[in-house]
Amino acid sequence: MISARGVVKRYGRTTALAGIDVEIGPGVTGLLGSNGAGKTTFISLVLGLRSRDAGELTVLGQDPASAGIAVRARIGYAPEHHDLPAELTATELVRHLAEQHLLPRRAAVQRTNDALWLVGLGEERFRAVSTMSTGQRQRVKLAAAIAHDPMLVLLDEPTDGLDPMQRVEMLSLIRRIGTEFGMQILISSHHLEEVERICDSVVIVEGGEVVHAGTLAGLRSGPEGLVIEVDERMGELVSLLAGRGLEVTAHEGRILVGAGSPDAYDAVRDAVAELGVGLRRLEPRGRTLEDVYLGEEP
Amino acid sequence: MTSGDARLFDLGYRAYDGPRERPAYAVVSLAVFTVRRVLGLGRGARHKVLPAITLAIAYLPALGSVAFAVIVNDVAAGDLIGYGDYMFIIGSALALFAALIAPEALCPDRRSGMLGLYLSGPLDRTRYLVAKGSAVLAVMLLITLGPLLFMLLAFELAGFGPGAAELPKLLLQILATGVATALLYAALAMAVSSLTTRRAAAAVGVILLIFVPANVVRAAIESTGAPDELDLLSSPFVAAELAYRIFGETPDDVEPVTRLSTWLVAGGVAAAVAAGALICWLRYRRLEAFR
Amino acid sequence: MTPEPRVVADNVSKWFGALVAVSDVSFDVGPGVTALLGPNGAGKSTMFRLLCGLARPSKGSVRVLGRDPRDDPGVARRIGLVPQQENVFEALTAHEFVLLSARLHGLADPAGAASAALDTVGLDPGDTRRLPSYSKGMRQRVKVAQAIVHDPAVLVLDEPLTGLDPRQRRDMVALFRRFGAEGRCVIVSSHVLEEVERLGSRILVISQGRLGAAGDFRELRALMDDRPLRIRVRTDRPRELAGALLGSGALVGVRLESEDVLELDTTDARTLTHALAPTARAIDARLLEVRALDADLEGVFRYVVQR
Repeated sequence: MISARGVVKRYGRTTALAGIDVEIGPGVTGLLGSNGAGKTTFISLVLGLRSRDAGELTVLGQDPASAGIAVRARIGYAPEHHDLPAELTATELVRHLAEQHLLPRRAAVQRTNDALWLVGLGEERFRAVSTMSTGQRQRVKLAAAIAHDPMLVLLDEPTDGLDPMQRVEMLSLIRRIGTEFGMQILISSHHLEEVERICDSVVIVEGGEVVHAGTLAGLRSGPEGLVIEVDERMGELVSLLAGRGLEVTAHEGRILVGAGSPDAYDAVRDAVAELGVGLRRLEPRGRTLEDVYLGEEP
Repeated sequence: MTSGDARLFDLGYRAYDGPRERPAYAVVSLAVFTVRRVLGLGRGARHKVLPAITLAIAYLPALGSVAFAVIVNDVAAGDLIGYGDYMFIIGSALALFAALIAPEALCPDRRSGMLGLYLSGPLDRTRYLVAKGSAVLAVMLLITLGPLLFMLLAFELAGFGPGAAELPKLLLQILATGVATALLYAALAMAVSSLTTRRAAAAVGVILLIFVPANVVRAAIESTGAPDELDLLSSPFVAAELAYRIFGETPDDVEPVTRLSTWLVAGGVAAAVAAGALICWLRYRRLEAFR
Repeated sequence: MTPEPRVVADNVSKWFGALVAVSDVSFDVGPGVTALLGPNGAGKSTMFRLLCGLARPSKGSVRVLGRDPRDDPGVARRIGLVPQQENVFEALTAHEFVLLSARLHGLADPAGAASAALDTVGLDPGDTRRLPSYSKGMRQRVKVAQAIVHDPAVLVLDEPLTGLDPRQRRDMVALFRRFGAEGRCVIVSSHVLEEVERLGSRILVISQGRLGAAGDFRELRALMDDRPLRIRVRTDRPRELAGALLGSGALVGVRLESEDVLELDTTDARTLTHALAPTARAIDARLLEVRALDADLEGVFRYVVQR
């Protein structure tokens, strides 16, 4: 749904995007990258708010540079900042924005109601935005982004300012929207764990280029080893396992075993049983998103 | 899902596959929304107070004139307020109204993040300004066109009005005056409002822009004999003068400035409108609305 | 020999009219990193303000390095604060801004200290750009630089990682860990629990204006005994393993989550974890994954705030 080839964007002598090549398809995609790496610029190009200097960009089948109006009509966008007009009620704001996205009045009214209930603001929907907490504002922004049933939803730091429980709720809400409701979602985020939790695919931008793109499952390739945690006698376990011919290392209270073959699992099980210690954790450990992301030293 | 008489409904998400409007709808919707906001409709009572008062002030002369005519009954046309006079008489109300509306229409959006939200929909900066400009213009027309039409209607109904032959011409004159005056004040007020995000500062700026050059110019012309053309820089002057010219009237208590041709006066109005619109457009083009 | 830095709250309460923001909170925090957690609106921010000396307790006391942060200017010299609100940054450069702080603290070489502080947070001391043009993440780092320029013994940081990208977050977390390891008392709040876990395991949870939990979260988990621990086990012989483990007496619930995954509920984690490997070996079941659900910080947090 977003297709970029060789997209370049410069601001004066600074090159913000040095040649973006990426295909972003259906599902929930995470957009990661350092501050200043080009994420915001890329989003502004996708929205057709800025023009690119070179390359091709297709969003929902059209070029945002020439068909910006048509493209933006089918996109829902929730910006990072929390500035919302103070006086309007949640309902007024969301309905107005739904109409701004070309929904006829009646449909806008109905869908605003639905959207606000969906994000959990049913009871608060007639309250002025100025009286709302950060958590509620984030949900208002989300409701505004989806009320007009867009094909693509762009969310910029949707969990900013939310406490841990609100964060979990927001993430599962977004996941629901992305999977059940048929909207493609692109989340720009600084939180690797969040992206890992709810995204199907990931795009990592660094230095104005895409350095990684693909499904999460694909990026985190096969298991590199087994992580083991026991409640005591860790040192002895390490020796025992090493004695059985496994590569073992200990790090921060955990034991890492190179998983060469399925036998490694049994060897671990038997060693633990022999020692008579409590097995707290046994997990295959592939590359995490963090490994992939931070592996990109410039 | 049904079983006998029992039915279980799916309250899940419903996609929308109904009709969608064309992009111009966004412009219209924003204009209507803005009109409602600046007039205080759909907001608390205290937001209606100032617009209501200003409207009342603007319509008062018309009401008074009609009432006078009706009560006194046999009255010569010359005793009533002339249409051309009207814009001059309510000059202050015009300025006040413009200073009230334009900042309210433009400034809050830039102060909050609303402008960014608008521009991330099927609007661009030009369309946004068209919507806002239309709204401000429409509201200004309420007091540049409204009272005149009201007077006309009232006089017609009371039997004091002009004959059927003169009616079309009079309507045209009223329309021309109303639109030109509204355009002028709207453009100037919007230009000032595009320069600051604080409503109060913009309002003061509008008042200053309308009255300060006018006074300065007046003083210059009268004391140092500067050319009459300078009067074109005075917005109340050009607006009122144009009204007089359209109606072919002359102001009672001021020397008619006959040296300025009507085209020049009209040109002055047009130039001011263009300048205002240009400033607005340039300012919004350079705004960093996307963060 | 200076005593180790401590922050002590003694029965602190703070109310605003009829609104009780903080109620009878007591804790004693020493060197190292302690995370202050809590739902939005539950008193965490007020607690922070009390610790920073930005508010006066209605009842009880707050002592930082043994002194009241409100009354004692000397204490202020040894505390570094990073409050949450976006300050109105004037048109200064980063160096000028931190320099102000350095001078305020009466440092011998304010310019040098300012440069060093900016270096530490990964900013360029020679940058001539003004603060309003800085991104959120950069402004955040300037705030931290300003808080550490005078080498404080106590650091109180309210959401210091906001706006930072993953690499910057990791660097900042490492920095705080280092400060903690150096013996400073570091109190940090964050909503991102995965990061809090990396800072260390000591937490304070403020919920409903009261102290809901204090201590090492792993130990806290063990205290949550009215909640069974759920352990997820992936194995090639789930049914047999489940049957065999039931015999151990340590299970209060078993669920066959999928064809190869068991979820075991226990109130006696020790017995169960000890029985797992031997039981599996005895019936020749391969253990492919063993993981305690809800034993992480998020699980503890949820338990504390949802009571």
